[in-house]
Amino acid sequence: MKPTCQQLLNIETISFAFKNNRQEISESIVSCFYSCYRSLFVKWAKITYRHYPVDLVESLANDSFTDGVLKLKESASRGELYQSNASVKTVLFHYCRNMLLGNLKKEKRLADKNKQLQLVVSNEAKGNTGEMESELKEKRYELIIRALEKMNAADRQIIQWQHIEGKSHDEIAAILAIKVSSLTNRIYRCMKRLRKLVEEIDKKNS
Amino acid sequence: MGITTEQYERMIRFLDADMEEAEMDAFEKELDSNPEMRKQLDFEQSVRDEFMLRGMDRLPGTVATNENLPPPAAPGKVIHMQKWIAIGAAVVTVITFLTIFWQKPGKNPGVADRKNMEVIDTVQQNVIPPGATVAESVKESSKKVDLALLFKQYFKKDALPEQYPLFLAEALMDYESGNYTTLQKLNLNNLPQTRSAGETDRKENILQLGHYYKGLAFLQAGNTRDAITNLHWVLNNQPDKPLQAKAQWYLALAYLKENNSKKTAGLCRQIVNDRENHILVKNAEKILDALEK
Repeated sequence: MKPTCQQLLNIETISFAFKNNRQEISESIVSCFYSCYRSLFVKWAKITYRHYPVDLVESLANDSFTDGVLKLKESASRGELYQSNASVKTVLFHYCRNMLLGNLKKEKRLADKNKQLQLVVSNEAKGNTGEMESELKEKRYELIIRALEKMNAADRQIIQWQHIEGKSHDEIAAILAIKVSSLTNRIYRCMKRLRKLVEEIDKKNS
Repeated sequence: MGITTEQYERMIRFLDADMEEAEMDAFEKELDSNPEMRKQLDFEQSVRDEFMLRGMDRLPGTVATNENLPPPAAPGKVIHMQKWIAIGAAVVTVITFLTIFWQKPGKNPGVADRKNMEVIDTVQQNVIPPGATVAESVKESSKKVDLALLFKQYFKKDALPEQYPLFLAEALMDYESGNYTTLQKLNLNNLPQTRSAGETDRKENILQLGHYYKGLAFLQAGNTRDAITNLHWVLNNQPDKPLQAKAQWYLALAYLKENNSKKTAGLCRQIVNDRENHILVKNAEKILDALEK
């Protein structure tokens, strides 16, 4: 009897299949990835990156999903999946999301370069678009860093765990020895404060 | 309109892509009807994207805990509590010692003040030598903070050269867009054989630029040890003068990040003496000034 996706999509089975090169199970796992998660990821991408053209996000999300699956396969064959406490879906979406972000940025850079070329052809000011874009990016990053500097160390540490190390709420709550619900509140207050600080600094600058 | 804890939990689950299709549909509707929630979501997403794109592995003033924690909550809690109990016990012991030795001279009212002070001094030196160490470590840590600040003030990633070898193109484009992992993983030990390669695609050029940008990628990601190895490689392999000055500069910054002010100063002095790149010379002079202070 063929195993169901629910039976196949867990860290142990996936690691076993890809690490030991078990062709048949690997293929079933990959087809389960596509049938269970692809449309969900595309939907997620459309909601998240709604500032980009929908068609572009949709096609890049599809490509990124394939890249994400490949990346997960690589990690699994190196036995790295065991290091993660997250679910298969979270790990897969993490890879896909990173791929999508990279692809979106590449696409944006190409579009900027095209704009620059058009500007050169029409003898208009050269290269302003690209510079402005990178300046804006730099500015946003600077704002976040400056706002972070104004926050207290405890809040910064929580952001480090949550957004950089990708720790789950359960893990962070365990470190801080508090309830998960209290932690959620704390993270929300912390991120709200960060947002407010970013807005304040931006306002002052402008 | 604000956000409730439940709504925020949902938002985090959405950001972690931990929702089913129907739930995602409902969430999208909820976002449309709650602009505050949408704003917060966009903000959180942008923070995540910025950190990811820049390959950040540590925020200033935080401790990176790269090692995996045990999955169940309880052991983490126990370890955490044990740590605090140990710290608490240490503090109580120190306070007790201090109290005993402060009170001792007080029991002899005939003893002169000066003598009291001597007793206290002796006690502090003999019984609690950490007193001195604490002061030193505080001084040391403030020095560390300064060096870290100095690094942050001067570190800015280098732009790409106008022409670069095809072999490095993908990694360098990723570097430009803020993805530093491709460069970090780039294998420079196994370069493809190229016949009649132009100046740009010469093996030495690939290796020098490769190691240079690899060093920068590691530095950007906070891995100073590998950054130093790669930048040293560049300096040990006769780069041209402009690349040498830049490699020296970033190596100086890597040492700055490692709190090695001696090596930083040495490299900065070389940059100042060589006078190859006037911006770097200026910055190196500023760092030297700051280090001397």
